[in-house]
Amino acid sequence: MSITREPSRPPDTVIAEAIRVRLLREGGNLEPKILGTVMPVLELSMQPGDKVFAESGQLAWMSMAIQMQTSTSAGGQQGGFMGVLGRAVAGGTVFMTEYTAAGGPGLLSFAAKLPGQILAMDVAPGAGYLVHRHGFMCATPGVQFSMGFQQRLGTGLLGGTGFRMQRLNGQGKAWVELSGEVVQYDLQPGNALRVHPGHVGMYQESVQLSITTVPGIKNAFFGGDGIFLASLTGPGRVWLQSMTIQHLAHAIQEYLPHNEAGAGSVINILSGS
Amino acid sequence: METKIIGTVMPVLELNMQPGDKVFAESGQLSWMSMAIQMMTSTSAGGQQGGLFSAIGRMAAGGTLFMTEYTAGGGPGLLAFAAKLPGQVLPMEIAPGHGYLVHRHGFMCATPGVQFSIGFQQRLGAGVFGGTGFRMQRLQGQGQAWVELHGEVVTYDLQPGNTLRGAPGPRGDV
Repeated sequence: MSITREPSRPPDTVIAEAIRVRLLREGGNLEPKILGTVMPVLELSMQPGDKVFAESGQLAWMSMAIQMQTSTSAGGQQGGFMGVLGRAVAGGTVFMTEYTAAGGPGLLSFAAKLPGQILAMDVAPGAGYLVHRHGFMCATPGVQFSMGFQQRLGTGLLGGTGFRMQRLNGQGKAWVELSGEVVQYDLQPGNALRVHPGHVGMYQESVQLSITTVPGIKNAFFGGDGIFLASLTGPGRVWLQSMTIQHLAHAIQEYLPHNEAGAGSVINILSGS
Repeated sequence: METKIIGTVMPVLELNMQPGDKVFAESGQLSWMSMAIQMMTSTSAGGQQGGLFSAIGRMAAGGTLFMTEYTAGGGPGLLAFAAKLPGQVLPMEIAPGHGYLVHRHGFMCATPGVQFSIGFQQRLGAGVFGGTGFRMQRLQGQGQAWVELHGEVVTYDLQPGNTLRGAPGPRGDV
């Protein structure tokens, strides 16, 4: 008895055909598709000349027609010393990578790093967004990506790394990933929500964010909610995420092997410090 | 008080509270709240037993020493607790004779009147579960409690004397 299987074709042929079929079916350029449910993938079908940029290291997979160019100013980003430094401090990378479809249509994919949702945002002057530090996936050139908000939360908390948001402004399309379920609230002027910092996913730039301490000495020292809450004040829309990397790390920490010398380092590793 | 469970895989419990409504939770469980919600943290918040032994018992059951009580003061308020792992949020009616035992990370919040304490504890030998043993938390009294269970939830009704044997990890409500 023998097991038969279809003769395999060279991968490039398969991919090129998949792209051709999809482009025939859907038409248009830079056709984005969000695939999957719980662990979504953003798939961009790009026409020759289409460009997007992302932080270096974000790419999941791409076809042969996609060319990568990495520099501190790729995607029209601020490449000066201060622009780069600001991005690095905001939890981003110094280098940005620009992906261009050249010589034919190409396919480019970014995968969400935690279970959650991918949101496609239209960025325009006056309609910018602030996004949590691991939320930016990619954007079209014309979108500016920079540090938006930063505050240290005291030594040791959140891995001592502080609380940072990244700003998306300019003009174009950007894709953002939020973790877990996403809950939207529209805040009226002066309305405020107090949020555990890890749950802040994204908010319109008209929303004011400040870090407040939990009221009451008793609460602050014994609360366990951390001493800090993020206060989001309207007008504007906020997107909160149900899964925080801190909760996830805490939930699995006790089941990971413990290294006596480096005990407690798991949370530090997972929170990126 | 109106409650909503939002989402599917990583649910969020959202409580819309009227002035005077109260719930309590272990400290550190809060996800977000509107300005009308006031927090009060102590070992006896939410009408819980605040004595040294009760508080230590809670801690030994995998809970925290301190409980936080959330009250809507001066207007309606919104309070949300998010599940910490993919799973489900279950609302449970607690009444005398209708208590529950819940796995050690399962309790989200409850109305005052519900008593939250250690229910069952056994060491499972050094090394297993990081040597921390197997613990269940007890919910009894009178009121509403919300519980999070991880992954898919399978419910069985056991007849008297029927026994299910489960690996200690996958165990939610008994």
